[in-house]
Amino acid sequence: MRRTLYTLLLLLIASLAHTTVALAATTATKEAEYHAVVKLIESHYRVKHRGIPFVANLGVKTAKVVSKSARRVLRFGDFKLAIFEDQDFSGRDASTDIRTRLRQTLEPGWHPLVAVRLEDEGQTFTYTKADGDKFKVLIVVIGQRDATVLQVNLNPEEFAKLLMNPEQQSRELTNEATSVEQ
Amino acid sequence: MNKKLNSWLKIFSLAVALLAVCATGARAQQPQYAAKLQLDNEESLAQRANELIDVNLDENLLRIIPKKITTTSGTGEKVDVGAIIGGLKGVYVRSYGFNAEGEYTEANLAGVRTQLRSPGWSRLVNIIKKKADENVRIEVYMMTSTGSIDGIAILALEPKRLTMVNIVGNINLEKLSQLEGQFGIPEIGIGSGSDGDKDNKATKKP
Repeated sequence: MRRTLYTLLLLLIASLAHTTVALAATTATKEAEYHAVVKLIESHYRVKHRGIPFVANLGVKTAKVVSKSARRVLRFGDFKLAIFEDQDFSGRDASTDIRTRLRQTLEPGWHPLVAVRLEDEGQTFTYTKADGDKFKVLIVVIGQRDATVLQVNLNPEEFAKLLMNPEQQSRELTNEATSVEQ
Repeated sequence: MNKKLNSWLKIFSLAVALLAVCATGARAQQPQYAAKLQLDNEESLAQRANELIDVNLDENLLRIIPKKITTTSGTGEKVDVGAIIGGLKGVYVRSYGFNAEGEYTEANLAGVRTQLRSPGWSRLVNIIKKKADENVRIEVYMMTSTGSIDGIAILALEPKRLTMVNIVGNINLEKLSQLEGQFGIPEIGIGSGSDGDKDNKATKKP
């Protein structure tokens, strides 16, 4: 009897530990995908990404995380934003385009909602992923001299707006995040 | 007592294992529809094109859009989006814009045309129109089974642009043009009210 109870207790502890590790791993994976995309932009266009301490020291804005107070005015919750400013995005690895490399990095875990390349407006790539009752959206906007990588959580209502007009809403979300950041 | 507890423990473990298997299966499950075309055969086009639009709205995403939702079309008319997309299972768009004519040929369309020759698909209409002094050919195909529409395919062939739209699911043909400008579908000009339609030559081919 005691042995069975002991086994049951062990099983419970093991399942709790498994859940904790799985949750931690999931969080790490979500972070990893965002960081992987930032790294990809760096390597593909040979632009340099710097951490926040370097930004503060050198006065070069390359990546920032927005404060909690700023987030309150936005229509989306927690988000991550990397900004590459005044750098050259015309050069690229000729062997493969950025769209293909993004697909290799994010699929099949993320769904490719829209990819747009326009001569005047640059490139926009939007990937989505269901996350409980919310939706994770990863938006990459690449212009001639600037680029942004934005990851946001949207509620179903805001997500529906994105689905109805994917390209325009992707740009609006990015503009919203960058304007608050400034 | 010990035996009983052991049995419960076994049942519990089995249930956990079964749940895990079901969860994995459900995640991997992806419904397949005959009207869904494979549009990604021509990746070289995407590489060559200076402009590209690539939209993928599958059934899971379309389900999220509220059924009672309206929007305004490019021409300013109110569009009851919920009513139009109610029966849709997917919207897929590929549009390639080129700097010069002749960047794409019929060979690039061979893969899609082969799929459109498969049972169930039939060409609904051929529209030839002028847009900015350039000839535009729009081909609309429809897949039907047991009297209902399973999907639609639109090929818009312009000298410097190729657009392929695949709408999977039951759609009201009269409202097809109202989807232009929505869900990333470009303004191709299928609707009767759009510019250049006066020069249209629509021919029905069975």
